Amino acid sequence: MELILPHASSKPDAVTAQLDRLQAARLQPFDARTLAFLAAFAERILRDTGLRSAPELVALAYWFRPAAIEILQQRYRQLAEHGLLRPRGVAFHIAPANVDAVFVYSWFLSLLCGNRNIVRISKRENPNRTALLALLGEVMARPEHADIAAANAVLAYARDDGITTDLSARCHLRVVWGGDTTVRHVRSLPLPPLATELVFPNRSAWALLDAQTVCEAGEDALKQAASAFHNDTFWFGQQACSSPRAVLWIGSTERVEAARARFWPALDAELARRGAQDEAAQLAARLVTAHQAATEAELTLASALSDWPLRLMTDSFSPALRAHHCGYGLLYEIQRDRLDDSAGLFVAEDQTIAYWGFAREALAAWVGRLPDRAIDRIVPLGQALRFADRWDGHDLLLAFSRQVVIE
Amino acid sequence: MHAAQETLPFACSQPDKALQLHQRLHALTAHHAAACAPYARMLKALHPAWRRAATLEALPWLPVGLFKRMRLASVAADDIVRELRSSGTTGSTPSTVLLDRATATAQSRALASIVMDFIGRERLPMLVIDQNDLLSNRNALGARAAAVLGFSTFGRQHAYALRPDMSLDLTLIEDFLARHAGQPVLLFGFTAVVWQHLLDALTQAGRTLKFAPGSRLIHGGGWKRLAERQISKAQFKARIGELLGIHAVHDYYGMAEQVGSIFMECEHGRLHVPAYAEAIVRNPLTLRPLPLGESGVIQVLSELPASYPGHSLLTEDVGAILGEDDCPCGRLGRSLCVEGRLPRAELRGCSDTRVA
Repeated sequence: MELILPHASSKPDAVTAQLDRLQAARLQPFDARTLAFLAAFAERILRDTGLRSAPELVALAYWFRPAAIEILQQRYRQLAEHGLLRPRGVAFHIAPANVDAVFVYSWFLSLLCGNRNIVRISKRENPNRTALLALLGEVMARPEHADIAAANAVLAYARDDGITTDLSARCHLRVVWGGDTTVRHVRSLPLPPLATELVFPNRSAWALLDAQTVCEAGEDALKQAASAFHNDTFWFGQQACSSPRAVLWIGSTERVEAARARFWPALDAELARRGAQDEAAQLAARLVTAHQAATEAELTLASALSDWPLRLMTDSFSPALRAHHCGYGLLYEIQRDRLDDSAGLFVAEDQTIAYWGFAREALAAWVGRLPDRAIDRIVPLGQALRFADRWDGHDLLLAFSRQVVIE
Repeated sequence: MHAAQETLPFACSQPDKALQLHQRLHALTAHHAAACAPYARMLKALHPAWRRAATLEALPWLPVGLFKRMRLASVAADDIVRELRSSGTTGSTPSTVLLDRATATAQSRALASIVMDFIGRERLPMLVIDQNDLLSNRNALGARAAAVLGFSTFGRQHAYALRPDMSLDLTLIEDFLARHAGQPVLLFGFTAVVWQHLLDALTQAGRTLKFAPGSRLIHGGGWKRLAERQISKAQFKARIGELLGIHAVHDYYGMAEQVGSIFMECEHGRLHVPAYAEAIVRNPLTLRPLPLGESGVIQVLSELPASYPGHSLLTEDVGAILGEDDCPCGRLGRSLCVEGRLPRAELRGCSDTRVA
């Protein structure tokens, strides 16, 4: 086990010392010291021109810049009107290995709520993560952030149940981000009786497009929608939980045909405009998935196997299609005449819908018909990947706090 | 269906070959479509025009990675006599290929006709550059073991150069050399194993070996490991000459998903496509066939796979067609070179087993 932050050390004593120090540290919700630290962090990333090529880090900095924190704090005050909100104590975050920045969102929101934090990251390194950690280390080392440094520990270790159990014993809240296997496994490791747990397992996402809107949109609106769809679907190699992997078209068969004939060429034009390039290895992965999928569902190839994205028309996003989806620009297209006909397509695993062409009231009525647990976020096209303080059905400001009732 | 064994592997000129092979492969597609329901579904959904395929290039193909995900058979489970597994690296999934007796026999015969075209009919004493316990588990054969087993029929009085821990058994090799002093012998091994466990081991021991003139080395399994270390084919051959005294070296390109119809390297350094097979090079992003000389992703076709729908496979290997009916060695048909793998694809290949 290695201590990565507040300072790097591979000595077991240093890890233990930091964990002990953290037990004694105290912060208030939206503590001035926390706000100063987050402002310094955001400023540090945003002025680093070398990080412009890492959009997820820039997005992270925007998320925690002072103006955004101000809005969060207002919401926190409103929540606190119904009861006093206090930190839970020590939060132990287990971060996913595949999306670099997620551990920071979880950690900093918890920090804002006044918790001390233990964060476990994997040993898998990549340039963006290394840059992010170096920069966090630099900001935490500044003397004015010593109290923040004292209240947090980021650790890297290969999967080890002994360590995870020891760290769990120190926490009041365990937060697990990861695949279903990780969540299932970590859940089997004991927590102290008073601790609670928040888990973020595998989820999936859809794009929801109204055929009539697509048909009637002006050229500019169509271009914007294609750009938004691109960001939702192609960033992170379509590997994030909230990357749409199925497209639900609403409209009569004929109208959906007409909408598809407008929308997909607009996406092609957007890809060309951005100079986006498919990769041979990603095409190879899509081909394997498509062939396997053809044995598991009735599929129709929209145009050619070499297409990017590769589009396959089918009747539902079945468990097999979900399980074998490879990302990298593969979309299942499904058509329903009316939004009301579509509730049966959705399952508990579905988290995000990125939509175009629906009114809020229609969506609200439709949500009432969805099965248990299905769909936690319905956002306009282009915002599928935007992290929010309400996630997977939880209000993280509340989940990272406890309510004290005074009557 | 198996005319393979009757045909001379390099006697058919490209135009004739393309015509005959197209008919046989098209018939094989129909056979698999009728006998393998999952394959029929793939054709229907993703290759809907397959019945109208008028050329070799238009025939439907499967991505080779599919055999890692699915067990595809065109024969009844009872008729499967062998399950062949490609050896993936640790953590990667191996491919599974299901063989009936007829397909396994056709593979052996095709392999024999190809190899004999290069090394003659006489069986030479054979030194296998691999572990002496490699063949101890014959039920589920790894690709390396399957290849050793397949090639061992071309030699006699076999000896294995490596101990179970992959260390070089010099005493055994010296024994082998003494026993067959002055006679040409056949060496066979995986490219990366030969490099690391024979050549590197000899260098470390400060030794050279002297095989008799006329001795040959056949090696295969891919260059990935050596390419990572920036080792060229020329360096490989030069070191073989220097440390072993062997100057006839044949690389071959083959895969667990299409055993038998391998592409062997002639003395002019070209890999030759045998009569039972074809190679098409495609643009890796558009999948359109490329003209001679242009590099792209390799599609391999073979008339041997009858028990599983693996007669037309889009690989993740990169190479180029070098010529047709024009190699100075006199072998007819296409010749090609293989340059490596698509970048960032999942590792796949025989030489990635347990070598590290």
